Amino acid sequence: MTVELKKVSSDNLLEVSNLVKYFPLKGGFFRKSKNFVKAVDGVSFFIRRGETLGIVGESGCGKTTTGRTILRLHEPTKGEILFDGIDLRKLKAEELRQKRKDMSIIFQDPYSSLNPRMTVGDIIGEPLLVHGMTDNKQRTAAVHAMLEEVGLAPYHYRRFPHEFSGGQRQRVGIARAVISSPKLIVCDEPVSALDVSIQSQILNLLKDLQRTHNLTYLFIAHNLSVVKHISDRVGVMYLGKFVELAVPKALFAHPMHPYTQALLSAIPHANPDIRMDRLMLKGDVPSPVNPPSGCRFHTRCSVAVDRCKVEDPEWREIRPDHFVACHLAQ
Amino acid sequence: MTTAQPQVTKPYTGMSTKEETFWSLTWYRFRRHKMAMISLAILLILYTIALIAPYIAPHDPMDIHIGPRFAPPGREFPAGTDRLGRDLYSRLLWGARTSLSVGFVAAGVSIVIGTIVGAAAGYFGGVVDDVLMRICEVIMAIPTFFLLLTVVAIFERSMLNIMLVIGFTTWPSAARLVRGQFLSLREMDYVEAARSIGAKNSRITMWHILPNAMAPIIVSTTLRIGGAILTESSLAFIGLGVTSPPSWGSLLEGGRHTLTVAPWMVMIPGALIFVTILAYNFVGDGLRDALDPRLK
Repeated sequence: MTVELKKVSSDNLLEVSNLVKYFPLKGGFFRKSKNFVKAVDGVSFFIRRGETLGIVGESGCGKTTTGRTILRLHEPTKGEILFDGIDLRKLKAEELRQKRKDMSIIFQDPYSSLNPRMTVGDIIGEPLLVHGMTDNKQRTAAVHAMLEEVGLAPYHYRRFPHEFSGGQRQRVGIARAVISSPKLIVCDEPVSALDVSIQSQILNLLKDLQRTHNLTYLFIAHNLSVVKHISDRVGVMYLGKFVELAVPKALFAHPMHPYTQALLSAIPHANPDIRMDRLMLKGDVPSPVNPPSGCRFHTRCSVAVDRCKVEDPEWREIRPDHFVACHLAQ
Repeated sequence: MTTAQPQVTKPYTGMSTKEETFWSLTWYRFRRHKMAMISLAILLILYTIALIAPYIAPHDPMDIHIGPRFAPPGREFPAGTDRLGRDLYSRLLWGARTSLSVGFVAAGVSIVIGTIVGAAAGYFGGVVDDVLMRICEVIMAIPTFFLLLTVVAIFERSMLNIMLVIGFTTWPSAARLVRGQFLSLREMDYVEAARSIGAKNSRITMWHILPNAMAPIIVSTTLRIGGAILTESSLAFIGLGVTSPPSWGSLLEGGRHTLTVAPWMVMIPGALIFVTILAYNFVGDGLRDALDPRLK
């Protein structure tokens, strides 16, 4: 029986429940602050082992904050982060530092995420070094193997980041994230800063590495086609909350939430002759400091009813593996 | 009509074949700064003289009655003699030792304390930052020179004490500089990346933040050395400087009562102090431009 229990819980590498991250706005003289930017406000989801969970949403909706809060790069305000059966929030600083071997992050900007004063070899080897592989020969060998795996050459080892192109730098960032053989990698818009021609190379590299290293990805992006291409399941965020989460097929074919519908209708089509019915959203995204009452989307929703203004919709599994937070969805 | 010759080129690797390290680029940019290069040469000469002073000085700087009193500069005494008949040339050579090492050590003490305090304040922030910065402000609120006077009056006026005192009274401005650097650099993605892979705080500060904060620290150190030499000279001028062996400031002080009889006693050490500090300022400016091309 215990074995069964273990099996059920071990299906999910990461379980996040009711995650909240508020950033205090700088207050007055005594640094007391009454206002908060509610960047992430009650987010619950799970990631299965070996899958890729994509998160999409417009700028400022809390995607990046979610990713970083899960890794405790930002201290969560509330909520539970169950990573591989361990509540990350309960770990002490040193325990968390040790645990970082099992999780890593790939940054959006390949220019600012590499230390300009370190060689590429040192950058990639650092995770091994801080987790106890102090033997130089062993580490150099591991780094060389990793360089080859991400499509870089051995002579790149001694180069500095400024000598590389954006795509090559992102490969360095990926190598650094993968070398400690983590279980979870948060990919924070890893391709949005790159040329379209490079994007697909990097995406394929990520896919290959996922297969060979048994990686689980939390893939954050704002490009729907990228997310559709790489994800096993896709979550849509709006103003600090998930509005919908499903497998790409279901999400792209039958979006349940009005926001998802509007988002999908905005994807440009390659054929200019096809007339598309765009669902135009009115107004701007409300401020995350004072989010609207009830459903956060009701101020811009075309089908909102009175109930939406007062009652926050429940996050429910409307079909198997299809979650949505909307009163009207059924 | 010419036929196209097949060109043999190296495969394009997207990067230069020469290894362009940070320091080689800095040196390349520094070399273009004419005044800074001249100043650097002057400083190197002065430091060499200071190092070999015991071997090239013709007389013991403290020996009296080596020649007549107030002998003007001439063949026998290149810089003349003072009121006790001491050889000023030898005293100036030894003075270079005192003045230059005071500047070097005092600025070193100042920048080391400042870097440690500033790094802690900037990296940890919060209460640590508040406490450390308030301490800095308290020290900075006291006019430096009067603080120096008080401390020098209390402690023995040895060379080491003067160095330490200048260092201990000037570190807060260095701390503020370093703190500012750390505050901005700790938000960089590569620092976040270092934290994400589980690097310890010591590693993050030493390997990720400090090397990137070095440019302004180095510039500030050069300017501080000049400042420290000047501070010691000012102390010496009112009779509180290093006297054995004399610093340039002490020599200046020794000559000020007999300015009309023996003007060289003031002019030569004064010129040396002037040139040294000017040279340090030019080198500092040159380094600032060389280390941070964005400032141009």
